Amino acid sequence: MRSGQRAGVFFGGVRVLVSGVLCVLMVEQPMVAAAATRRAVVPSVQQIKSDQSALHALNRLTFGPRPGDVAAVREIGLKAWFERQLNPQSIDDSALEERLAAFPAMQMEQAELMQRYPSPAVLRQMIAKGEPLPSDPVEHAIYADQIAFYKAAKAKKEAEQAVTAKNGGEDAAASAVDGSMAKSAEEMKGSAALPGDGVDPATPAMATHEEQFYSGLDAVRVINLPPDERMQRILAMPPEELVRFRRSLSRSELLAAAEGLSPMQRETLAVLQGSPRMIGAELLQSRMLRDIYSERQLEAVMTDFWLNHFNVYIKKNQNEPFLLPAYERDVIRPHALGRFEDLLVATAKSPAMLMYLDNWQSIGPDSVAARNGGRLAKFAQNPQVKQALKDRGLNENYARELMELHTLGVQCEVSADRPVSMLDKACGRGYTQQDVTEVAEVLTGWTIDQPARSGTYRFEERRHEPGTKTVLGKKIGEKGEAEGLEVLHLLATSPATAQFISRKLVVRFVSDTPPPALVDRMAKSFVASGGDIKTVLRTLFDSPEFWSPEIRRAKVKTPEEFVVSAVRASGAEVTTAFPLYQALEKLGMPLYGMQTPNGYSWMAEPWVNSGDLVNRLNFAVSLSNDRVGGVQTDWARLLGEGSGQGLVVAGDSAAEKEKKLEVALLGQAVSDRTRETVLAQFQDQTTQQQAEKSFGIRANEQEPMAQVLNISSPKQRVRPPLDREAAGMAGLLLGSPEFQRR
Amino acid sequence: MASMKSMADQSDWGCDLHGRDAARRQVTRRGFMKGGALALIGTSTIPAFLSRSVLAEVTTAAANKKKLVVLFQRGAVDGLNVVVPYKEKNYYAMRPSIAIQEKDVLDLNGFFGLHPAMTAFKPLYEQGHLAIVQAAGSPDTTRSHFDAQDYMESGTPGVKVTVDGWLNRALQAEVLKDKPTAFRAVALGTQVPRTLQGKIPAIAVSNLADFSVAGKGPQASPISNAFQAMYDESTDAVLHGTGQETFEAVKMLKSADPAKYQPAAGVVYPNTAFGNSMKQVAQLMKANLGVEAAFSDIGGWDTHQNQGSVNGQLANRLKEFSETIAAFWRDMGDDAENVTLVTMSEFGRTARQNGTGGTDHGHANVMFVLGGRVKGGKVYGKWPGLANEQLNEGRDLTVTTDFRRVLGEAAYKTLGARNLEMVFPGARVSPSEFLNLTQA
Repeated sequence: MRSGQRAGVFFGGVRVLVSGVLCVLMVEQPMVAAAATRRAVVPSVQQIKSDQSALHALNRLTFGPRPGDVAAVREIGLKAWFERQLNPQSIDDSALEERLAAFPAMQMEQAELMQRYPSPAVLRQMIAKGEPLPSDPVEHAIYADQIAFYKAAKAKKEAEQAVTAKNGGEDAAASAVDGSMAKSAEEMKGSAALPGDGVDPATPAMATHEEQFYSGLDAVRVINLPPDERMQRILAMPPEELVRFRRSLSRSELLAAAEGLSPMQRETLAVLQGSPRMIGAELLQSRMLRDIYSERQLEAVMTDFWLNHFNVYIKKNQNEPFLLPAYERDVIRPHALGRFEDLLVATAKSPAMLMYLDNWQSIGPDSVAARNGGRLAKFAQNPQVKQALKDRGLNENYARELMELHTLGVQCEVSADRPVSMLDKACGRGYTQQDVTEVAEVLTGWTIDQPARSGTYRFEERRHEPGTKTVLGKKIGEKGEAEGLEVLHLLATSPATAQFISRKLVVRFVSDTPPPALVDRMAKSFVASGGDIKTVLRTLFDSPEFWSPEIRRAKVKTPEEFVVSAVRASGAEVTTAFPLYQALEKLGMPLYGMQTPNGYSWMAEPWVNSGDLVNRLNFAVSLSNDRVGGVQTDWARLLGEGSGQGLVVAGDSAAEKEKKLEVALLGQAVSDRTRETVLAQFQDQTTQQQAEKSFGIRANEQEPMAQVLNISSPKQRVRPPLDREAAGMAGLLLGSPEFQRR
Repeated sequence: MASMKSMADQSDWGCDLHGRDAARRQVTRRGFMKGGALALIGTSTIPAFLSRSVLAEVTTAAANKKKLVVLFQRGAVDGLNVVVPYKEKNYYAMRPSIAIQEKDVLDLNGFFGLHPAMTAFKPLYEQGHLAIVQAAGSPDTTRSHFDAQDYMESGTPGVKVTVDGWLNRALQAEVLKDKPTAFRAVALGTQVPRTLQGKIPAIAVSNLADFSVAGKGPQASPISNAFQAMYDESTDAVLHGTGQETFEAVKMLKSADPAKYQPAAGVVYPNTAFGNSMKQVAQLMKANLGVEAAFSDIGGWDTHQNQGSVNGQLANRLKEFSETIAAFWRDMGDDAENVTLVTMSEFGRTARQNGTGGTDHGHANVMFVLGGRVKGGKVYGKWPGLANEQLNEGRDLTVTTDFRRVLGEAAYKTLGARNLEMVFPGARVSPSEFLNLTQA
């Protein structure tokens, strides 16, 4: 991500005008179906207790309670609710599906996705080989435009490099003396943009001229066409015109150009800016929306857990974004509550993982492919290609992480300093460097078929290392792909894996200091059930440890849990999820953004520090004051529902409001001190006005493409007036120490 | 990784091996000159002593204090291609396509040469500010990134139960003359790294310009004050403590306004997450906020595949790394005299290249030590050689210098941490063990 451009997210919202039009509220549908809180019955002690249990379950097993969730759990009973959550297919999720319909690419099969939205690698290849463009008119336009844009950018870059090369000599000499390499590079960059200094005069100057020309009436005329006609007109533009058209659009014009289009049309318009960007934006937004809105919360939480356990980094290269929609949809989610071994095999075969941990390129040193490579190397002209062919061989990246992070755990690593005798009993003989190498050999040939074209898993016999291997003391006879499955079975069924996974689940769901007895019981369930994740979670749910009063509200929320739970608690309407993703980025936990394969920590430690706290407080204040772009609260309605009237009660005192907000946002009372602070803040009118003024407002820096994708989100609605008092209180409550825990 | 070359399509998704930090640290390059009397003091044309006297109230604690900067190259940098043993025959035999040829290295001493992407380091070495320790590392032989990093950061290889980091203990061991400030230990990033965790409060900040609650004015906003009151009184011990540190730091930052301290004339940091981090380290130090220990990290060194040679992934990383550090050095100006900067990485990489044009997890590595009192211009440490029998487990460079001897010396001489048994328990690092990289 470029720096600067997106830094303004917390303060980036457009200032909302308080119009005071209460009638707007009348047209609103109720926010949550289960608004069962509308009873004015005095709760019994028993009900309070069971509500506390429901709240705890929601805090731990979902991304946080929404208004009305506790009541909904009460209605069907805790255990029944949990069982329903374990069987996500039994839960209607059509409201979410409706939202996700804005992202057609996320539903496409891998090959279909890559065919329609070409990766940069494909485009480069097509240019190099002069391949014909697809005949489908829409695809033709997408390809032609992206190629034209690529060529223009390349020409510009080459022109810049020409200048750099020319000036390079003197500058390098100067910088050798004073070490100012960075400075001279910067200066050269600057000079490349100056007209008439020896760069090919045609390219940049002409382009500027044409753009200025285009931006006049023509663009406006196109934008003003009815949607279908407009789309046809855009697709019919020759590539150069399309590029100019696209470049001439301001942010608001771009949004106007997307108005009224179908999701597929909008996606097509968005992809003209580059496929990886569009796919990345859809991927991140749909995951955000699912976490916030899915009724299948446990499935969402477990999907998140496994995506982190089997971490893949979206910026590994330009191909990785294309592989992640299927990774989440076909590899992780279907197995999130299934059998661990199925999940493990699915990840091992997934192009996303094969690419992320390099296994797709690993070749058996004695395989046919390696031998052929050696032979081909003799004929290769290019010395680099020659060497690459000669050196083809093993890469042990995946093999190591498979054992260290995905299954056995690093506590089972044998090294010179840690002999077998020092290992955990469950580790057995542990794994050695030799095991890593042998597992890498076993998995040679597990590769990706045409990574940039079809992007599907393939076993390639020719790359597979021949011969018998030994893994964890077990002989693995030569049998091609089945060797890998045998090793994965071995790893998936190891007691060490059962321990490792159980412990991680306990850290996620129960405590940063996992009770060993609970881990052991879950590990036993794991082994006894053949790695059935549902069974393991039932053991967790039925354990006294999970319900122990000491652990309630004891887990510090990760940034992801904090952001998602805040949005859920506020009942805010998300029309564009991208700013929420940016908030996570700022908080240090962007989705698919962990570069290293260990994933993010579920412990409090990394997430409790000054920088993180400042960002959390700012997010809380921004969210509640509608200053997170694309996210809209409606405090008046939330309060109205809480009061059982469905309407704002005009006479509510600040204290009454505050009390309702406590219940709505936290499900329970906050500390007296927190309450006093919240109230003190709003007794003094001048303080309140100062608070409003003090929000630094920056220009709205929202990702324009994210807006294009969401422009006619089904839930778009008229902005309700902002209840400033409620918003201010809510911001303080969402930033309170109490809300940082679950 | 960079099997697909980056394409000039403005895509944000294509950056290869940009540090994991790159995604997490958003730093604005917006200028932020503010009104008022102090606004003029911001360029390096104003002598340092003048700005110091203006800010006298925050300077007392930190005046003339030595500062230690620790940089972690996460992901295990390939030290053999950073400080290249170009006279070692085996080197070329083991790395047929990724080796740096003799003609390309920046010669250091007739045996070692720097990777050609590190031209920014060459003058620092020649001026005697930059020292190199080759074949340094941990006595623990794990090949797990995460365990190895953990051991290095805790400073207790092989011991997992250590709760704090070596740098935090070094601060604990220091004999204090003044009251420490909230910025005594600071990490640039979204998290306090293991290295700085412990009893001494440490601040994590990724972007100084955003380090303010609910508004950026020179005064704390009412909402900020409300939050402060809330956290002050909280019975949540962890959040209470973090809250206190946070609001104190926010307050200090508001009065010192480090945004004034823009890089010295002619100094340009690379526009990357790491570049921005180091720029801000310099700002904090120049603003006299009492920084004694600063930490930053840079990722993207885990080059299993297609790491390149003179050019390529590793070269790009090294260029950014060395140019950033050189910019920081120049930016610190006279203050550089008091700075010691140490770099480290969890382990080195295999001596032989692997089957995909990269290197796998190895053992010993290279460390850089830069500073005003550093006796630089020299490659320290015993060279273990690359013959098969000289290699660790027949595959990696052998460790000949325990990393704690390097860090111990820095803690002792720069921070004045006299009790090294406390900093590195069990390591028996004593002044007689020092490599004498720096003057006392």
